[in-house]
Amino acid sequence: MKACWISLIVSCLCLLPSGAVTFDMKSLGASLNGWDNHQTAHYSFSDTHYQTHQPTLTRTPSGGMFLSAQVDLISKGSAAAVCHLGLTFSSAGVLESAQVKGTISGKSIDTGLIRRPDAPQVSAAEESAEPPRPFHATDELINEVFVAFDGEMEKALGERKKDRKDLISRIFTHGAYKADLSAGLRHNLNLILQSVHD
Amino acid sequence: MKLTKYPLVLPILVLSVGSLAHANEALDVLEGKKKAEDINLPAAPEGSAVSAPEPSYTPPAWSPSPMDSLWAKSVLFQDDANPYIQQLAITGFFDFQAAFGEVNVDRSGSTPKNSVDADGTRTRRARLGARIRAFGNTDIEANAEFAGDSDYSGIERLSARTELNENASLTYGKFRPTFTTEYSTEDEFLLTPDRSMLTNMIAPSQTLGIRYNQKWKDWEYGAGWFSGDRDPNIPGIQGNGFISLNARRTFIESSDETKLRGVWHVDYINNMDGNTSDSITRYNVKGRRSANGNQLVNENPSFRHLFSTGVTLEQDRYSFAADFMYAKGNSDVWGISLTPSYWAIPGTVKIVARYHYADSNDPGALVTTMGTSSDPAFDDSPFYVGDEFHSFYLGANLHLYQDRMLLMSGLEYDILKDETGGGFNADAWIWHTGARLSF
Repeated sequence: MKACWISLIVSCLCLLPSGAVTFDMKSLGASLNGWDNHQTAHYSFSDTHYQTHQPTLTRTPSGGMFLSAQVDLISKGSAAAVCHLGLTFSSAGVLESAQVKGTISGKSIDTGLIRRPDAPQVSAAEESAEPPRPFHATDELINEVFVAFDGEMEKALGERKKDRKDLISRIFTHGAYKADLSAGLRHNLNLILQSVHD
Repeated sequence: MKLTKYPLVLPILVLSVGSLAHANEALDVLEGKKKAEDINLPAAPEGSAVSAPEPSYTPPAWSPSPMDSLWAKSVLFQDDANPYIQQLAITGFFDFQAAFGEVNVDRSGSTPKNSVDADGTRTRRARLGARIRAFGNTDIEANAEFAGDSDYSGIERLSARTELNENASLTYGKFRPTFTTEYSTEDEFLLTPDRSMLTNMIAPSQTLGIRYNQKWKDWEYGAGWFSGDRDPNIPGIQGNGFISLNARRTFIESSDETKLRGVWHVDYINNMDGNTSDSITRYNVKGRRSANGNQLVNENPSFRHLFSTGVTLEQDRYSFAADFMYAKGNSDVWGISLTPSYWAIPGTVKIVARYHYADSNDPGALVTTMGTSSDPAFDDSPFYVGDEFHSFYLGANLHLYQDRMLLMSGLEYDILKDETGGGFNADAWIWHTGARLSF
């Protein structure tokens, strides 16, 4: 009877969220040049200016966390591209899925939801023939997200080439370069991952 | 539960599991776990051959511009759920033209050659109006014209177009009949400073009328009746009027890399009032003398039958319009217009050329003006008469904001022959410069 009660209590304890994942907003802000009064960080690298808005955090039912962050590429004083990073973390702080949505020069892009990949199955024969490449699920997930993002950008920029641009558009609107935007988003994603703790 | 007791249960279960399996595979594709090309689809049943989709043509869009929000302010009200008025917008069109040149008139008989100054700057068009979408199926347009003299300025348009169903519509009020490619094009979208000489000469004026339009596949037909009265404000019903018949076909040819869109049209007008109609032709030079040779015009040109056919083609940066016109009445006149254009810088600089030829066997049958306008209905002083006309135009349009704000410049060379008349041939080199603004 006593053992039953102990096992019941232990089971209930196992059902409780075991150490919720946390996010260090200050640390992220510090690595992005600091948050200003409007909760926005302004920074630049590789001659390109960006701004990141303070992420919004919500708890998932399983004790994990959903993080949404807006990253803008700034050109000629205004946002040439506006992108939203949507990241889902498990209760252990592991990145489970990622999605990038954005608007670049009037064109919408969406990578779709990319889930954390499973480790590839390697047979004993393959393993003995050649040691398998080290598999890191988070890195693979990030790579998949940006392969999808680059594909979407190619499509968007390809469509834009067919558009007609009048003189005022040519002078006063700006191009968001694929490489700059991809670099900025990747920079933000890596810093966000460093600020997530279990 | 014994499956043998219910013989249909097993196949239903198998089908359900099978469809669930396909549904699960679809979910895996959406979630990124599998790729679509890795899924094995069941074979299509026999006889379910899928035909290739009809080629469609989407014209290039205009890139977003900082001026978009300013132009959007012309829409004063927009509510698609309102049962009475869904949209109210103000409209405007301002066209300023300048011309610099000289018309050289040949010597004939004892009359020495002379030159007529073609220099001038004019507000070619100045319109303000409104556009209303009402009752979910009716578009009402009203435009007031402030340019020109008292015979030209007034109510340029006051019409409504009601959609009877998805493919049929009725247009009524004071509006312009459909005739030739240039006359059917709204003035703000003309590629050249003005329409060709023959179009301006024979096209009927906007007047009171009613027209039925029907679409069927890639065809569009129109049949209408218009009054023979011409009034700068509200025309009345005068005489028997004229009947207008139109047909138009749109075709799309697609290759691996590009698409060609073409529109072929044919228009016919029967003027039942003959030379008593005030709307065919639109101007009055009767009893006046031409600037080439001081030749007296005893009667205005009048036409009982008008015919035009042509084609417009668009492909990537290129477009081309060709029109043939013929008018038969107290004189017979005919002509062609060929207008190629090319986006040198897509959306910004368009190169435009036009060759126009008009001819008649009757002396003095062709009536034209030269300078800021070739439309005698707008400004008929001075005007010239002849029997053969050639015009060459080459210019460029600089699009500041879409097709709504542009600068245009070009050089025109006109040859007017008067072989069967008094022999007062004329030719002119004219430089055109203009600006257009519309909303």
